[in-house]
Amino acid sequence: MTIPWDPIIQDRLTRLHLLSREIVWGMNSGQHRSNRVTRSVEFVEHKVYQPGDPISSLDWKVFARTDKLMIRRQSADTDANIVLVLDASGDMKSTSSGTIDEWTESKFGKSLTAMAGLTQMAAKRGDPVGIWICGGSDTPVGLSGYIPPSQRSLHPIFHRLASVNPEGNANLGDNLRQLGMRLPRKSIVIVVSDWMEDPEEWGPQLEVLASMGHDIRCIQLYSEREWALDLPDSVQVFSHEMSSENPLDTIAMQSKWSTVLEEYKQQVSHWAARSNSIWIPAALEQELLPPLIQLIKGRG
Amino acid sequence: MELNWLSSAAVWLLPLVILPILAHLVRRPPRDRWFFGAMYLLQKVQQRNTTRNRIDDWWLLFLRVLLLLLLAGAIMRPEVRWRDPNEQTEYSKRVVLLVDSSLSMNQTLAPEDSTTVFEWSKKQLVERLKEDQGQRVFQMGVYNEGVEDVFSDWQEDTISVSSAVQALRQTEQTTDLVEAIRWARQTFEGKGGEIWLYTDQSGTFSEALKTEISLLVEQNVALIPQTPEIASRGNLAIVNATYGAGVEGGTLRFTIENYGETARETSCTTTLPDGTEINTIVEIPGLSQTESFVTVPRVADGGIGQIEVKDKRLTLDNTWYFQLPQIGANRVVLVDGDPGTAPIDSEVYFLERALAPSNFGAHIVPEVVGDLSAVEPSVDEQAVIVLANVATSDASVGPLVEYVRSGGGLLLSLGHNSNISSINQVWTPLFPTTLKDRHILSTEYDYGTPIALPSLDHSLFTPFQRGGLGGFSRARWIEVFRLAEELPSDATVLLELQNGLPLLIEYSLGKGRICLLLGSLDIESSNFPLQSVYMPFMQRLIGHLGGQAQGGERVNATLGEVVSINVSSGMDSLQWNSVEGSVQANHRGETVRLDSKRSGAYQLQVGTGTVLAWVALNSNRIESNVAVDVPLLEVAAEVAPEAFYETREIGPWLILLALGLLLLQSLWGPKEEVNHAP
Repeated sequence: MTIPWDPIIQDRLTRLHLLSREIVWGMNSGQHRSNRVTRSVEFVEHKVYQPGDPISSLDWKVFARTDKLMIRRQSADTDANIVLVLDASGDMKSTSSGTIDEWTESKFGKSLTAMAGLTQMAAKRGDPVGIWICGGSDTPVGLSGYIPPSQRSLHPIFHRLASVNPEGNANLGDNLRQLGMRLPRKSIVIVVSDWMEDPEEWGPQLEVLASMGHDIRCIQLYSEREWALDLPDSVQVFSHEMSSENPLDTIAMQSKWSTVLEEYKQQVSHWAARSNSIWIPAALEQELLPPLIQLIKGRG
Repeated sequence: MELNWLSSAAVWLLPLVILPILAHLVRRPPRDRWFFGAMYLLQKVQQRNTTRNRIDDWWLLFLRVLLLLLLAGAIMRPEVRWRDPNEQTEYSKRVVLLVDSSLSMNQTLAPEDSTTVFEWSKKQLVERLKEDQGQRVFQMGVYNEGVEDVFSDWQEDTISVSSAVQALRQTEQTTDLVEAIRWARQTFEGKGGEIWLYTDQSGTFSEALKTEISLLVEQNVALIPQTPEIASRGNLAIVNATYGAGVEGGTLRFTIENYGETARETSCTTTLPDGTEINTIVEIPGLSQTESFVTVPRVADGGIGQIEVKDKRLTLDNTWYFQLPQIGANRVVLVDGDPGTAPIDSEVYFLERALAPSNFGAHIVPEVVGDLSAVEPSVDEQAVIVLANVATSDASVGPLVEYVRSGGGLLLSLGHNSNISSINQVWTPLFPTTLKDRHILSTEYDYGTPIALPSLDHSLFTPFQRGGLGGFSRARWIEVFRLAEELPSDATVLLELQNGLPLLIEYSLGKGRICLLLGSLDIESSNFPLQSVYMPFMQRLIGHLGGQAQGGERVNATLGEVVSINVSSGMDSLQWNSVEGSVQANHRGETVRLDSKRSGAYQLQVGTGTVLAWVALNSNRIESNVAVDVPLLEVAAEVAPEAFYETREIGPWLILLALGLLLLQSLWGPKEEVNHAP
């Protein structure tokens, strides 16, 4: 598949590299360098050869040194599979200022930055990394665009990130269900999304993934201004996921908005707890690095 | 101060003020657009589309509406005018006080306020006189139908003027404002001055008033109307009441007029001469009349009754007096001289049915007897006695003559029992002249002689003016009695045949009256009882005789009219009786006049004996209409506006104000231009 390589994509890709390097550097700063990123990743080990074990798995170097037949565990079995799930729905274009001019400041821009950083970090550590894109266009998405975790998937992932355009609905619930059927055992699933879909749809799928033994970590991108409904008194709001544009009376609907938002937060907390997920909100108005560090360190 | 619009046609511009409101309400969706990421949550909030119907900037809207109002107002050329106080100072030393004392001044200031306009006027005038510090001289006239000057000369002493004001009395008469102003103008003798006019301004002002006002202006006389604020002008008055006209004898029909704009329900009390009261509830829509009726019981005596409407707004016109000449039912005696073998063969069968066409109601139910000797004629017992084809005898004549002389009514009809020689010899006191013979005109009705159309001048036939008069000509007579001599001058031929033979003759005997029918009351002599006109005519004839039996002439008059009663020249000690007592009647030759200025029931009586006349005197209901057609000051201003008003056009000021508002709005406008659009 040919990746359309236009100046915009090139610019985006360059920025992604730069941003990801910055992120990786930022994540490691002040930390003990470690190739074990979380508690759930097993150590590499040798075991005594037993009849029936694949001969190709024998560690000949150990045999030469110690004269013992030892079986080397495959790195794929022992390294953490990281699967990145990117929400590329239309609403991810939104920014904290209500405009769509600066894509780097949008939810999607932040998502790409995070994705690129995590991919580069995983590649640097040698961890297999894959990607699943929910929604979007201009590149294969969903199951057809799924890049399974691999140590050689850095460039495909980057190309995918560079070419995807946020559009349509994410259908998080359906995508997570399909992903669950294809995930390697005990993967780290990192979902970056605004989660602006019915929690009753995606929440149960998160729980299913958790029950399969996967480590689930979620970043929720949101705008503090939107959540505070800090908009002009009278404004015409629109969405790329929905065709209609609605005049909005922010003063009149303030109290009802607060109620709805609070209910939504409670639902999110509920499903995050049920799926034992690490749930990290990331405001567009704030730096992205701290939430990412939290994500990697597993501090929800 | 008044506000007039010189170009009032431009009032159609006023609806333009709705434009800014519509513009604020139906303005386009907000220009600010916001790409909203959390649309999922927003959809759950159902409160949308409110901006379209909400006005954000009330001040801006107010300014714009006001701006358009001012411009529309300026185009309509408003003009403020007020009475110029300086206009009167130069000739205000001589003041003529004109006080309206007509009936309409009796209206109260408000439904809950019992103070009348007349009382208010007196009080105001007295207080104003107190404020005067001897700077003016006064003359005063009280006017209604005419003007009465209170002082013979100009008065400087306000105390004596106040005393005269206090002594003024309300009347029930009508108003002649033109005459009053003319009198005031003449009082000034061509010099200037002021007229303080205390009036309620009810009714319509005539062109003659405008002429008088223009003359006032020419003579430097200022007309200053003084009228209190009268809340919701309204009045109820009985404008007509008639008893027993036509076949409805026994029924009093009356009409109430509501001069106010709101419908009212009220109680009316009918008081009969014997003191019987009958209450009726009547509902009258605003500005309209309602007719109602009451049934008068048979026991009612004749005289003058009154009907009163309960109305507190103007009490002086609440009562209407009406003639009640009809007689009680049991006071008519029919003597049937030819009873026959079957009811229809009875001489009085048709007459009896004509007087009481139904078994109920208040019509005349006579007492029928078969023998004259069974009747003891007395005006106290019978009002009318009908002798129908009665065989005469010597003994019967004397009491009958005495009865009629005492004021009784007698109807004589002739037939086969009437013996001409006996009548000419014995009954002559009851007949105007002797009889000649019974004249056969025909043997069949179809060829009989019809009755000539009667004269409508007589009150008996007045109701037939509207219809039914032709019914008389359909009655054909086949035999009548002829008179032997000329009728005396005091006898009147009420009906005659087309061939000139008299048929019904009325003449007086003493205080009573006799009607002689030169034929029979049944169908023996004519088909008259079979005609539709028979029933109402006989009812009126009996009523006519019975009314006369009460004695005296009956007059309905309006206050202000001259009421003259013709009396014999030799009568002494005539007096007018009313509820207020008796007053001596002024006897001028053969005429007596009623000089009362108050409405009521009046009786002209000779001493304590015979009643010569009954007069129902009612006030003129033109005064009952208390609505103001055009205010007096407007009439005056129309005649000479420069003399009564100072005017200023304020249109240019409105335009200046509008420009100021436009500037203010332009300063206001930019503050709202905050663009959040991407």
